[in-house]
Amino acid sequence: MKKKLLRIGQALAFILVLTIAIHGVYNALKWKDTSGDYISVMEQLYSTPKNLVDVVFMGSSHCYCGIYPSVLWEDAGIASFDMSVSGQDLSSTYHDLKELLKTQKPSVVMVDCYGLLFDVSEVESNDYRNYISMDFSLNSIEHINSYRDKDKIKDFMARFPIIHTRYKELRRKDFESYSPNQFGRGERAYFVTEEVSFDQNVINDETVGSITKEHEMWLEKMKKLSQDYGFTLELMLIPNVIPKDMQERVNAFSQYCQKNGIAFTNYNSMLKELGIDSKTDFIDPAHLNAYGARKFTRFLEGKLLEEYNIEGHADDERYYQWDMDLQWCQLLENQYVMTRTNDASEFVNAMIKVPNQYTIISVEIDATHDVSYYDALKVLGMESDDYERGGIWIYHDGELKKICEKQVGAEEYVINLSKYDTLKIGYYGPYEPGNIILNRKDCQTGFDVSFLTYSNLLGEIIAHRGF
Amino acid sequence: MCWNAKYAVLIAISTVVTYLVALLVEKQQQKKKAKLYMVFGFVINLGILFFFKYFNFTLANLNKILSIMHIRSVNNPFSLLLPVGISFYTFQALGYMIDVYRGECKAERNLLKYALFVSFFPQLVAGPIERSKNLLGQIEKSTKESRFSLERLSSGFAMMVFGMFMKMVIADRVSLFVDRIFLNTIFIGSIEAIAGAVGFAVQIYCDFGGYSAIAIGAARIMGFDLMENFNTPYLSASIAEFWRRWHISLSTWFKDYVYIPLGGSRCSKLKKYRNLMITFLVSGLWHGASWTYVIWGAIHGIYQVVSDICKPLKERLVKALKIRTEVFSFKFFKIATTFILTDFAWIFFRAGSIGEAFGYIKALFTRWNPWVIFDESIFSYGLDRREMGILLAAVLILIIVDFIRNKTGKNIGEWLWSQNLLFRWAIYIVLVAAVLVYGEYGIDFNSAQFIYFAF
Repeated sequence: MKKKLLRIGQALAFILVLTIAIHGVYNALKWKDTSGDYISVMEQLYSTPKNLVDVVFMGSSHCYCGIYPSVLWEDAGIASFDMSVSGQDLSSTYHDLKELLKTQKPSVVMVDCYGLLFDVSEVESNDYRNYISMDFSLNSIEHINSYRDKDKIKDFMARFPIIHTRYKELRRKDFESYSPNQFGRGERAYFVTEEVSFDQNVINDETVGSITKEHEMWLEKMKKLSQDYGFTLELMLIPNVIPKDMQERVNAFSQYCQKNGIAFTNYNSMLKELGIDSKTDFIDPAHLNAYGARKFTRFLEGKLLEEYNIEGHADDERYYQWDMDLQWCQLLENQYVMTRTNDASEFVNAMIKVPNQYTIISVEIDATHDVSYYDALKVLGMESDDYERGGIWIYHDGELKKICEKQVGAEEYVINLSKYDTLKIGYYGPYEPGNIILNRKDCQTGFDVSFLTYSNLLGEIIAHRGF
Repeated sequence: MCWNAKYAVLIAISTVVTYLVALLVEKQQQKKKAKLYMVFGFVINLGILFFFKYFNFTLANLNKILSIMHIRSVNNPFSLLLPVGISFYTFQALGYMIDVYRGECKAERNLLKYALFVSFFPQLVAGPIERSKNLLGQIEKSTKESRFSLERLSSGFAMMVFGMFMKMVIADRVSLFVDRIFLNTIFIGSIEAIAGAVGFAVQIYCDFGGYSAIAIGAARIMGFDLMENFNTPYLSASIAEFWRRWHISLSTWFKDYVYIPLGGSRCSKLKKYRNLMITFLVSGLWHGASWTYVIWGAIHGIYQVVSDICKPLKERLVKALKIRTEVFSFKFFKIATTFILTDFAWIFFRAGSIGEAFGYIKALFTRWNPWVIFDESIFSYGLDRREMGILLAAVLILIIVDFIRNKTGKNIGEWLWSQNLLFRWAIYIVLVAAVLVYGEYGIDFNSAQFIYFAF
């Protein structure tokens, strides 16, 4: 009997060790949004402590491009979350919300109805984003079971048949969690601008299209969820250019919602009120850019404060992720400028706004005869005689420190920026390779003045420029 | 080859017929009548096999002859698909019938037990072709206690996982390369042809050997010991030895039920060679209804005959040149020669037609192009550098496992069981992870079916 028990124990221990090993392999290989810079809204949700989220926005890319929780946080301390995934279909919206409701008790849930306007996602990767990024649970099983292609269901369930070939593309972010997945609140910031045109005839079209039984059932399921969990459900159409047939469907949903006591707002018909400018506020016809998103989010902010009396949590330490999210959004905005500008002063002005960063500044030029970059650098506190001598500086926490004189053979300076990132600075001559080395990679730009900015928030270089 | 529940009728017929024939044969005192029953059993079983496996082939050849004679061809009234596993269970059932006829085993009275023997699921579709003396005996004696043990579970699991490793990591990966080479027979040079042939040798071993390991491992977990089907065949030092190590269940079947009844080797040299050629031609035909398989069988027959004829000459040569036969280099030479010969024969086994096989052989000997290794164009045949690296690493593991088998006489399951727990667990985990990560399966991958399912 003792021997038998020992053997059973041995077998169980083996199963446990095997499970742990496979879990480790799974964690590295699991679906990651490699075309979305490894950002996963599910991981962001799972890393959020319980019962902090007051407002939830659901939807596809229209939602994460169009609504910024960081704006609501910065302005009013509202703790909101974009539970949005590219091409989020109706089933995913429902099950993603159920997943969120396991740990959060929002009082308002606003759902972008784009998912009601398309029938089948034509982007295969969106199916993966939506169906295999959720942790394994009864909810995820129900979700996968609702997938339209029944042949793929068992692969979606097992996951390995889909993800195992990712061994070909594994990189650092697969082994270490990408920081924004710990604190991001679902939004993505895009600063690109494209002029789009809205057809007023379509916007004003009152033709009512038809909706299917599945749509009605979904609306009823969402309504029941709102009743069961005690949140207010609002449907909306985030500003984006849609064709006539979709507008007719929007009208049909609007009518159905009105009849069935579900709030529905078509923001396409309120562009003026929102202050949205079709020339400056869009990335493309379907998505708002950061400028448009801020306007739209601020409009929703007014509505939330006015109609729902959402409380602010600005000084509550439990909400640190919203602070970091705000820092991230500010970083992205400044990074956008830093990586595009051709003006050193503009670069420096953006750089100093980036929180929690190290910037290595190298003056290679014979600065005694050329002071053209001094105006840019004196903002950082650089003395003119120091500038003229040239050398390499480090800017961190608002302080500028010279670490290497422009003298061949100067003492080398080594700094560990993070667990895996090491920077070595020395001087081997003007414009010589090897003056600045990050992780064995030479960072010499060959320019007169160069900047290398490393963000601790993201754990990576965010700008490397020469002027 | 096809999966269809309707084809279960065929295995049912085969089972019932051989079950009844065996009972009648055992009861029958008169040898003549017993023979008649046996003929009946053979006709039914081989008739079904012929109809489903060789009818199309026969008709196609008949029509070729008719067209040469300018006679109108015969239309095929049937649309036949090869039922999965038919060659395996038919041979298993026939083997049982013969064993009963010879008095080497008793007829099974319990139809359910006999049906379990014929349709034992781990080996139903691709063997090993079990012998009544081995498997039926185990079914008879099987008890709850004998069925399960931790040792069986552990070693069976190891065999299954290693079988999957052979199939999914090696065979299916190398098939991407081999298929591309054989698809481009008209373009390839010698290096690609050599690589393709070696690749196919690895593929077919890992494909069929992998399946056998899975079947043996699954049966072992359930308390049944199936016969070994592969014993490091590519470490054979002669073609005769290769056939003692390759598809052992089939080669011993042919030896016991075809070669020896024909007279075996205890007859004149000429008759022995005739028996060898017949056995190998039938073996080739068993593998598939195509002349390429027949030629493959014939080549192996010729190898054996020529080897036997040349044996005295070889011995004299060794003596005259004072070649040391006990050293590694001599053994290596023999193993390498045997591998080259079997690999050459595999070209016919893999090629889609005889013409394609000869085209391939022509490329092998006439288009010497070593630069494809250095300019890396060899990596354009379905496997890039990384995939080739994974393949070579996996093959290295296979070679190590085969050497262990050769040295210790234990298969991977038995050998691992004899090791310390931590080492054993580490190997299990590495193998499971390797299959999960590097296995060729899943969405966008059309997993090659086991090659031997088609026979």
